[in-house]
Amino acid sequence: MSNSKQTELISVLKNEIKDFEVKTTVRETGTLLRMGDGIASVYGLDQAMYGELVEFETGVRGIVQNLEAKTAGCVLLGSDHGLTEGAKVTRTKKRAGVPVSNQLIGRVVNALGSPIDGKGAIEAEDYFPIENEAPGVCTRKPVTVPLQTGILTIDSMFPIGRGQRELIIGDRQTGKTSIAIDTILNQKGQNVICIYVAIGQKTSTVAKLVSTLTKHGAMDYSIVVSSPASDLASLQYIAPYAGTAMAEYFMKQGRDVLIVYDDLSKHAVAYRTMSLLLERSPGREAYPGDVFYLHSRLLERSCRLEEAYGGGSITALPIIETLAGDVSAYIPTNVISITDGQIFLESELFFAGNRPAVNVGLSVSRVGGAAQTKAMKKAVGNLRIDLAQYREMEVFTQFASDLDKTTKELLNHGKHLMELLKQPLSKPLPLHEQVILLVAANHKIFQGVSLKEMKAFRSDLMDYFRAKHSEIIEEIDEKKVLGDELTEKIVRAAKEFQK
Amino acid sequence: MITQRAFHFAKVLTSLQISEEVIHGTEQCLLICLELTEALENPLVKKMEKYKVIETVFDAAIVDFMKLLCAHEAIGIFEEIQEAYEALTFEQRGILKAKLCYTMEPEDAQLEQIKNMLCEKYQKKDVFLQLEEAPSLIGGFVLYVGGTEFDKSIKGAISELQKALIER
Repeated sequence: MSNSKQTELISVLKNEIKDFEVKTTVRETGTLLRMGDGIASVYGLDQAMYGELVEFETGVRGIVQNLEAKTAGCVLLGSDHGLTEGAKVTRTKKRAGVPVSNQLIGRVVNALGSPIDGKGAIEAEDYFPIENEAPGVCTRKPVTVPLQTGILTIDSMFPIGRGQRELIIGDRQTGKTSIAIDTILNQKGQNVICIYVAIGQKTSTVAKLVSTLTKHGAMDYSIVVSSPASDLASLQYIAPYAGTAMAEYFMKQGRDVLIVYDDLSKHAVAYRTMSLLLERSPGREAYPGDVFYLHSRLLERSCRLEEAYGGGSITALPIIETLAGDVSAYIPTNVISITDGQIFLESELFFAGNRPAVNVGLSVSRVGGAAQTKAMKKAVGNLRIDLAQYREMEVFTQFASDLDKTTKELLNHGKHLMELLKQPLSKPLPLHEQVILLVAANHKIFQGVSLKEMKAFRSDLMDYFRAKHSEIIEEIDEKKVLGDELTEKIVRAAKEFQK
Repeated sequence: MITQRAFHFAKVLTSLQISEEVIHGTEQCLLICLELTEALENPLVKKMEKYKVIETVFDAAIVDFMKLLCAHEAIGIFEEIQEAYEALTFEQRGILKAKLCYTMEPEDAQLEQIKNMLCEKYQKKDVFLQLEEAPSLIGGFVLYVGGTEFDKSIKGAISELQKALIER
């Protein structure tokens, strides 16, 4: 320890001892009756509130989750080591919360907001309760500002607005997290703070994600809240609420926040574990009766605020993992009904090489349309209908020689569109690139290009635009409007390139 | 420690208006003669036989209540019931039960002061103050009222100081 630190420590100790006096401390206490699997039954605590933070004799904290006539059921937020029957439990008279500050940006924290990245302490500016009431009707503003994901399929057909809740749903290994990460990467320079909440994941997965974000410079505007699979169910349960509390801190400052909950299926499982141990009645699939409220009260906190109330927004991207594509299971249907749309990822599409494997037919964005830029809205044209027609006719591709000219053209156009929508990982597209590609596709510029050459062709096309027609790019980025004149310019330039 | 079950039985006991001596005598009997408690708790012993024993051993005033406990297999929690009964009786009489742990025995005037403070704070007629010497407090005292602790001990102050230093 350096000399200056020693002197500082000695002066702190001296001051504390100098001011030391025996004051009367009033505490409300209870007695630990029984404990197991992170759940404690405490006798007494007559005045304890639901959701109140209590402190056990060893210093470990817990949250009151069940209030009964003579006892209170608490979930432990740390190790039960050293706790025995009869141990004293003290009320803190505070609701469970997390310390918040601007210093959280760029850090990896646990569900209690404590840093776990070894980069030192985070100085708290405030303390936000993890459970907070969602903003009321009058404090909200309609979703009108787009949040670009940089993923062509999503930005064109299922646009997301700031303040929206868009569910990402699909089987395991279909690219759910990748969509979330790409969206985070695309927020660079967009003045959006990103919070990634990892619930019940492997620590190695979270470490990999942090390294990806760091590599692309996304940690400069991101916070990672991690509650890995090795954490207690209680910590996994509070992790998304803690992340939302942090998001609310920034939203109240007027900032735009993007929060990813990865994933709420594991969150529901953690809550089920906790509820069963708390002896609450199991319902469908053994989930407790309030599992809908568990997610609805979490996602209702995402919104866009009126200027008078801070003017910020929280955009939520909850992730749900399905089993064998079954979207009619309990938790998926719950979250589908809560959110403002869903991006459905399909294993079949994924293995067929269509990545992101978005099922265009089952995906929807209920409020994002109003937030889509005019340029994108016009550029999209009939993309969804064209794709739907292609998927309908796809089955006939094996009879290619017997098909009429119109059907052949339709199938060819569809194939090119599918190829166009393929996008590699960590390569989000800027708005101008998306608009140019869509306009080119709608004007059948790619028609003569073989599918194998599509990737190289679109890359060369964009290089050409950047080199020879930077004024088009600038116009799209500045005005975000696509007039007939600009469309013509794009088509002309693309045809020039074709020659 | 009073469970909800014991509390319900205590309410029944209060409504029966049985004298405190009888209740206390019953508790002592069960505490001293453990074989009797075990026999009354044993599910292998027939109910009628248990009733016969109850009629023989206990005061006539409490026999019916003891039979009720026997039928509900609650003989084992008699001590808890007695505690709950005491709390209920105190509540009815407007008496507050408190416990004072000290290192140096307080004087009568000090005790009176404490009682007056509690009567005022909890709006009660009287205070039943249980006294207990606790050398582990190092100095000062701790007053327990229900789940609330009024800690003016050296031990408590040191632990507060320790917490403050850890937080810094």
